[in-house]
Amino acid sequence: MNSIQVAIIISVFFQLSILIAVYWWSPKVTLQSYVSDDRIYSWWKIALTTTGTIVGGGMFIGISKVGYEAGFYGVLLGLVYLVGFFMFSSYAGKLRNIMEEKRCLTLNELIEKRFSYRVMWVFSVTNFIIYLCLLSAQFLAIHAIYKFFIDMGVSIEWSILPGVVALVCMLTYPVFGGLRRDIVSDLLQWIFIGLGLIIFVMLLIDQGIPSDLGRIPATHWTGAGYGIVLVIATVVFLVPTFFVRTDLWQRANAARSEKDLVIGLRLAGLISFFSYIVFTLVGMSALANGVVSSERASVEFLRIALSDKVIFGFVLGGFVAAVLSTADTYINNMTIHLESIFDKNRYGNNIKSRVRRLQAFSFVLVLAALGLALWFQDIVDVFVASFSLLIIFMIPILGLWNDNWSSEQGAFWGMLLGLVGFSIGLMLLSPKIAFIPAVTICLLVQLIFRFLGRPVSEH
Amino acid sequence: MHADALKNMNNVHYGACFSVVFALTIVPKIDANQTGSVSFFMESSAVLPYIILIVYFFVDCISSNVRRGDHLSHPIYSVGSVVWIWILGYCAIALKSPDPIKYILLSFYFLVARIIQYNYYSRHVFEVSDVSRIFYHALIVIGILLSFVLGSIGAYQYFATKSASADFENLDFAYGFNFSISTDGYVSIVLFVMLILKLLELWKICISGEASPENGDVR
Repeated sequence: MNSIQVAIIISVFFQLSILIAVYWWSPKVTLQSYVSDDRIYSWWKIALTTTGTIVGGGMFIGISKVGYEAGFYGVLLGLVYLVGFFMFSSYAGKLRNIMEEKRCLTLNELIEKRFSYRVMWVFSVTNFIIYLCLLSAQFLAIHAIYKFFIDMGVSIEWSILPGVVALVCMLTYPVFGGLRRDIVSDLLQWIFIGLGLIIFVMLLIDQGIPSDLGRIPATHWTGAGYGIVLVIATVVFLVPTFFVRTDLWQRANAARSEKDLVIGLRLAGLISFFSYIVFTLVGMSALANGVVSSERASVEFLRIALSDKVIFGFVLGGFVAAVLSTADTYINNMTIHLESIFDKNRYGNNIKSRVRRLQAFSFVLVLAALGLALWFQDIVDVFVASFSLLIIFMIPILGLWNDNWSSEQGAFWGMLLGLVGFSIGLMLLSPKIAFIPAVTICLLVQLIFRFLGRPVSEH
Repeated sequence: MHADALKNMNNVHYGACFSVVFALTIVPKIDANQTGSVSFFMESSAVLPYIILIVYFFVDCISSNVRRGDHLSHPIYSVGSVVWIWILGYCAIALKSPDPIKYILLSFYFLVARIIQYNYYSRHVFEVSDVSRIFYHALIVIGILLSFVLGSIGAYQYFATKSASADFENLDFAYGFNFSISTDGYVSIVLFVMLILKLLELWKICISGEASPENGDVR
């Protein structure tokens, strides 16, 4: 047995131990625990589950790639996450109270109550697309590891093993356990993610500043590697999207108290910011060290900096744990949105059969995301396009709280035409700037209905 | 302690801090040929960023005085505001240093200052439904961008000192511009925009009625 196989075994052991631990802890799955959960989580649990969602496989592979291709733009993303979490936490207590007053478990329900079914429908369709793409990106991240093993001469059956076990994990606890098991598993996964992160930091410190910084273009130091337009657009548009992320709303609703929520979200912002800095530097270090493929910046960095394959196994375990901690949240969110799309009368259904239906949706969606991953080429493009699509919700969501902006027609047509505009932008422009026509259309429609239409009366 | 008393305490710190900054930054130059002639000069090329930061310091002092200040009764806010004054003072002193870390320090100062300001307004002033909060959303968004630019200039210079091989000659190229501005020029522009944001905040406090002592409800 060679040393890489030892690393793979450690990684697989991690994943299976998480799976077993989550199943060992087996309270009854209810509708509440599946989609929103009770308000029972203290600040550190909220911090770790939220960070677990952010620091996924996309972080290990995607942000290293960003660091390689665009340098400090990755740090800017971290900065946006830091500020976004602080902003969301400032209002999160008030948002929680609104959810409680309206007796809503999810943001979808709140939108349906405030506007109408059709507005919620467009919201769910768009969210469904976003989370499906993001889940596919997690498979892309696993694929990058697989290719790395193959290039290192590891046999196919060994190379494929971590990916297969990750897929098995995805098809079990998030599918059948819902949000509660998602949060519990995040806490366990963070042990391995944290280990992986610490090892990356130690390697960066150990390596020091690479001798040949000349390989890094000047634009990388200013974050303008993808262009100044994307830098400005990222700051202007990505920050407010924290208010429309259903995964964050779920966690806001699950916190034990407002204080726990605020501390948890802020801590999550700080950890995420730190992680973004680390993986950006990993990507830049890989570039300075002459790595030729941006896709595999992080794994090649490991190959250069790390000779001990047992420690490599710990990093690999952290990486796969990160993939799972993000994927399980996406699976849960995607399922809730899909149910909202296909089942108009879901509130009237028997609760037990509704949970079963959610589980069935969930199972199929994991396989669909796996299929979709075969079609995608670039993990960074998938992330940028998916998150920028969130922007089209911003103004309709503003209408949730402000009567003057709460036009049902504006929300519906704004989001629908925004989605169409985004699709056209995706075909004609780069995925990184496809949101521009979408946001423009959405904003115009909203403004027209704001000044011509009448505010909606609450249902 | 009453909010006015806490504001007075802050003012004492503003005064003390400014004295320290002034004493450490401006060096007296005594002309031996002319008895009784003392002039002052600054031992740094970064005079313009320094002047802008000092103006910012005074505007910060004014806005802390016109703000209602109820939140200061909370120990974290009252201690925090004093610490914050001294950090800004330290940033002004650090501008003298040739070490590019000073820009990263300033960048963090502005970032955290914007976050604290946003937090104050969102938790103590505005409800979720207030559209006026968009103004503070805009301030924080521009603040992040400027902090990032400032931090990246610092990082750019820091790595430039560490490597002889990299192309660190042209910051204009890195930003995609065609005109030539020195690093201090870029920093001055960023600080000037930060100052404008601070003045806008002050203007907003005044027009919102928060500066009026009889106004109990900020909104």
